Amino acid sequence: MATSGKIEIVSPGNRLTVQDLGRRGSQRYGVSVSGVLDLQAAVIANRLVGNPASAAMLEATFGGAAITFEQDTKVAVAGAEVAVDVDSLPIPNWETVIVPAGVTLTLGIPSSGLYSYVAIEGGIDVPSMLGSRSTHVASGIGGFEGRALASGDVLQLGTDSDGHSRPRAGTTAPAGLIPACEQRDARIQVIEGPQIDAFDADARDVFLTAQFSVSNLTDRQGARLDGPEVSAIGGKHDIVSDPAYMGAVQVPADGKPIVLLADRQPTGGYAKIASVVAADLPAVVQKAPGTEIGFELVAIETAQQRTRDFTRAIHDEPLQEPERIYQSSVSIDGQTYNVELVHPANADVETAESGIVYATMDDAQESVAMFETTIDEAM
Amino acid sequence: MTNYPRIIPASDSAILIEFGDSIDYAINARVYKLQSEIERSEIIDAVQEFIPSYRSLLVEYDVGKLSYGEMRDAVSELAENMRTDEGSIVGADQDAHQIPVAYGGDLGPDLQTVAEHAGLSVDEVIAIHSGTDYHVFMLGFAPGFPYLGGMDERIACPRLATPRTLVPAGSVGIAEAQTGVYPNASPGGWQLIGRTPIALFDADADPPAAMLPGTKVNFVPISHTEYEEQLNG
Repeated sequence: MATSGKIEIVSPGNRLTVQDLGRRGSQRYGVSVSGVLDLQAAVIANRLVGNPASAAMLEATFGGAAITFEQDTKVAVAGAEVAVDVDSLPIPNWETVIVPAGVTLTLGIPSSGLYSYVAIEGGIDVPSMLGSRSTHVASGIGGFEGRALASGDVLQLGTDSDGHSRPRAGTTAPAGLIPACEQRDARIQVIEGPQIDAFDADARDVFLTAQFSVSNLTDRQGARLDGPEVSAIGGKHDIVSDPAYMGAVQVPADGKPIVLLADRQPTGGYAKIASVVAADLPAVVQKAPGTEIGFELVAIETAQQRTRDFTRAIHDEPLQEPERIYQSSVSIDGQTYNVELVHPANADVETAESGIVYATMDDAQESVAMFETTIDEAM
Repeated sequence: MTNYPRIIPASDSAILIEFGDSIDYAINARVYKLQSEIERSEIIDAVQEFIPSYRSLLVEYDVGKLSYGEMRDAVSELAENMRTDEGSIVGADQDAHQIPVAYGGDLGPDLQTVAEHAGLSVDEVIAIHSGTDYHVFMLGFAPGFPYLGGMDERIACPRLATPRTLVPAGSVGIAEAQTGVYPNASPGGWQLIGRTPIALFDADADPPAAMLPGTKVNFVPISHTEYEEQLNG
């Protein structure tokens, strides 16, 4: 798998785009950051295929995408809870898998969550613009021809690598970093926003005690919330246009809060009542329309410590190595190979036996490349 | 009353420095002055990005390198010690960057409307519009889109009653007492008085914007023939 192949989009599902960590440093020129919405899922998916965190990947909105691979390719899917099939066989989320050449990886519709990240070994090799491969559809910048992907698009894979980890098939995300339902239901932590003084005690109380509901107008620009009105003093929701940033909670004149996300414009003219702590942004972006959301206030010191802990965890918390379940050697074209068949710590044996990655010894002899990461040439 | 500069946490990884609450040249100059002071200071190693605006500067930074308290103290010292006399304002001594514009005709279909509204001749509108230096307060809204200040109010004109569904890239327009240029083709309701052949935004250029925040620009009339030549050149 050292050489880079191509992938073809069979179906983009609801929306499929190329994203990386975003286009930083050009907001002063009016350029939106864009980039992955769920940093936790995206960084871990990249680590699971041995990519640097900065490698470009596919972001699927509400599942539905289908992709074929030109050659055997190491892949990881993370984010929303969604059924993923490879050639009709189910594979787990948050785990390194090897998809054989020519077969189709298909995402179902998420049972929970909104965005899925498909990280592919080597990354997606679209041209870098202003230091990023992220797609900003509204301005036609970056990604694949500046647009969302369509059926029939063929993308070149790159040669990005973190240089050392080479995770094996069956490697899984750190256990504490796979979001559990109860984490997603917790109140979202915020600090006070720059225009908190535009809201009186009653309005602040509404904002911090109400349960809002994610609107179906939510998109990559912002999570739009329905619920009780959050009204500014004297109805003054407009401000002199000011910097806008990830996680800012702005409230326009209709009193419905909007959490600004990756595709936001760099400046905006609405009062910002609060700012979501970075560690809670994955939980915010994964809330599908109709999901409840509430907020609680923390101090800046607490917010910064959570962000430091979050950043360290997603980048440095060790991945879980697969367990070895079978070891032997095979002879192929006169060469002897040591073979390990593996299954991950969190998968049951039935799943392991039915999955592409966990084929039998006969399959191994037919498809050496599939087992590239688990076959070492005998000394 | 608020005391300026007002320094507050905008998010867990961004600090906001406000110099006022209005659209004002002196306030805007301080925004860019502070940005250049931070660029020359040792805290620049922790800075990830600046977003300058009309009256405030957002600094996004790595919280693994500096805490909010450390950032606030450093920025506060730089802001307090800033010399704000005219000579120290960034770009104050620079010549205006010249933007060629072909006025009227099919490139500026609303020039006649603006002239009639102002009670002036078309040539007078062109002379007034191109006879002024404009200040680029900030960029935003879309890549390369400048928020310009300084238009002569004699040529102010209301927006179109019905916005156009497609305004070509490079169109120069007037809306109330503002003038601006559309960097990309988009819907829009400004009165179009001309068009520039130069790209306001080019992702492959460094810097990618033709009009830079905190600088001065002016519009130079060219003929429609020159427009075609420069567009194709």
